[in-house]
Amino acid sequence: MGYILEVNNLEKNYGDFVAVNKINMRVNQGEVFALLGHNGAGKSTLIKMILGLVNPTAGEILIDGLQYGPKSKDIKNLIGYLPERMNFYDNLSAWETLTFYAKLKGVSSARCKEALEQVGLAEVKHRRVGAFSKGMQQRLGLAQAIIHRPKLLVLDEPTTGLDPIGILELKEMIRTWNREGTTIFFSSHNLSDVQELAENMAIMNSGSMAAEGSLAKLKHDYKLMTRIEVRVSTDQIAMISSLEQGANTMGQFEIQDNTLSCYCESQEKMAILQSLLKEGVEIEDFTVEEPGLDLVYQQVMKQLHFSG
Amino acid sequence: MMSGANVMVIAEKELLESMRSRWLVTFTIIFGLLALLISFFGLSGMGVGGYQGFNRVTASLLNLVLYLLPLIALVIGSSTIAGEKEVGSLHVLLTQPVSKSEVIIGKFLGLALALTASILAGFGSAGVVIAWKTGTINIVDYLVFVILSIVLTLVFLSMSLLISVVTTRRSQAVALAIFVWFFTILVYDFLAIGIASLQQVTVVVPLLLTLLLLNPADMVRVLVILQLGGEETFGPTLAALTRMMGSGSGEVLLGVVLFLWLFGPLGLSVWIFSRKQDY
Repeated sequence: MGYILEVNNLEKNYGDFVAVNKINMRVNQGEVFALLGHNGAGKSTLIKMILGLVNPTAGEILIDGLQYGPKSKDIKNLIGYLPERMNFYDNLSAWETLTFYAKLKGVSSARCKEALEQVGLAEVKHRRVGAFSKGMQQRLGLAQAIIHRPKLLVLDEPTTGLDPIGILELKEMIRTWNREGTTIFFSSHNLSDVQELAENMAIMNSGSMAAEGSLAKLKHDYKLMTRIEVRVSTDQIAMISSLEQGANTMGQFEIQDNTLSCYCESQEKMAILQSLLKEGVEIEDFTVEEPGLDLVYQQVMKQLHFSG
Repeated sequence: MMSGANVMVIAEKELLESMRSRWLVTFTIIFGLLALLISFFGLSGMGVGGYQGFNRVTASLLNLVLYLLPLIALVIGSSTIAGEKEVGSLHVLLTQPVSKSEVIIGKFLGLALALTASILAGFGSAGVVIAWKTGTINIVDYLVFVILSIVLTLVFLSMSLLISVVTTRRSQAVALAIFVWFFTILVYDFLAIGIASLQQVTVVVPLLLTLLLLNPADMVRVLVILQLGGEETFGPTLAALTRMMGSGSGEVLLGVVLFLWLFGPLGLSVWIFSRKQDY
């Protein structure tokens, strides 16, 4: 499978200010990809360049192998976009708004009906958009973004401003569209959303790419270990201590009261538990703490802080 | 490549939106009402009928047109792009498969249609009263007056799109639009009066002519006066200038310059908008 989005040495300067600094990025066809970073990290500028709203100072953007220029309209037919904050036309109804975009995209009105049903606005389609809540506007925005079944769906902070139910529904829609073959590219502040949805991610910091890859790869790159805690009965602690003195296998454990704990790579955890059982240790209880994206993110930022 | 279909889709949306906007509805009612009152009381109160009565009423209507139409065109047009920038719908619009020139031309067409319809409604009501009081002998003059009023509106609509393209917020755009209205409609004539009071005729005439060509509202005023031929209605100063322009070639000159005023700002806004990024 090829790349739906390829970004090569992309740069954007506003005068002396470098908003985006030599970024390289690949998004696979069919995946869910997240873009992370603080406010002002350059995410919005990058997204605007991907959408063709801002011209890069240097570098190139390939969308399904195409470059902006004479082919701009072809590219725009491949992309659906939902901005972070927007209002539609207050005096138009949801139906009028959506059919307006549909006509520009060359999409039938039957498809508009379908899209409105998908985002849950079919009941209120003749109401004025000006009277819509933030969440309803967001849904209409989504309908507009997916109406032409885009290959690449770009969502800018899609969960901001939504209530908890809205967020759950949005995630479900994202999964559905992804299953149907749409590549999802979204930016977010919410690390748990990213961890839940994204297969691959990129972390931006002051215009540069700080880290990129899957969560597993990032955990590995930043040496973030899985922590296992095993609780045994008190009488076994003595045995384990003697075992530890005899052989080196237990050397990685820390013993505190009747609890053993150790750090390991995520894929090693079963092997460790099995070797404990083989040694005759009776395990009363155990817990596994996998490092989440929050720790990865912290680590990435910490390293940048020290190196920068 | 510009797509006519896209232009029409945008024009249609713009027309629908403005027909429901409070601005245009209020304007249509006020304009229609004032036109009706002016023609009704202008013709019955003074007891003047016929051609002279028609001239008087048209002169009053002309003032109404010169104040009101540029104002509404400027206010409605200037908020169109700037307003979409402000609320974020412009980004979504520009990620559709449309070009920026299609957006501008479409918006211009849609707003032009909306304004024309509402002006025609106002003039229609006044026209009925005039025809009732003075007969239909002046119908050609009246039609030329209506057409010139629409041209005036479209010229200011064209300027308003330029304002809308160079500003980023609705309030900023409307403020600039009102300033342009204030200058071209209110302040400008004081300049003209100042120049007209100068002593050397050789300086006054070309200066006045230049001043005239720089202000589309004044051009429309002169063209309407030429059409009505009403020197007695409009007083000697204006009549003198009118005579100078009235040689036929003057009307052509005014027409050409007015045409430039109509399409110049529009073309410029297409050009600026197409080059501009990140708003």
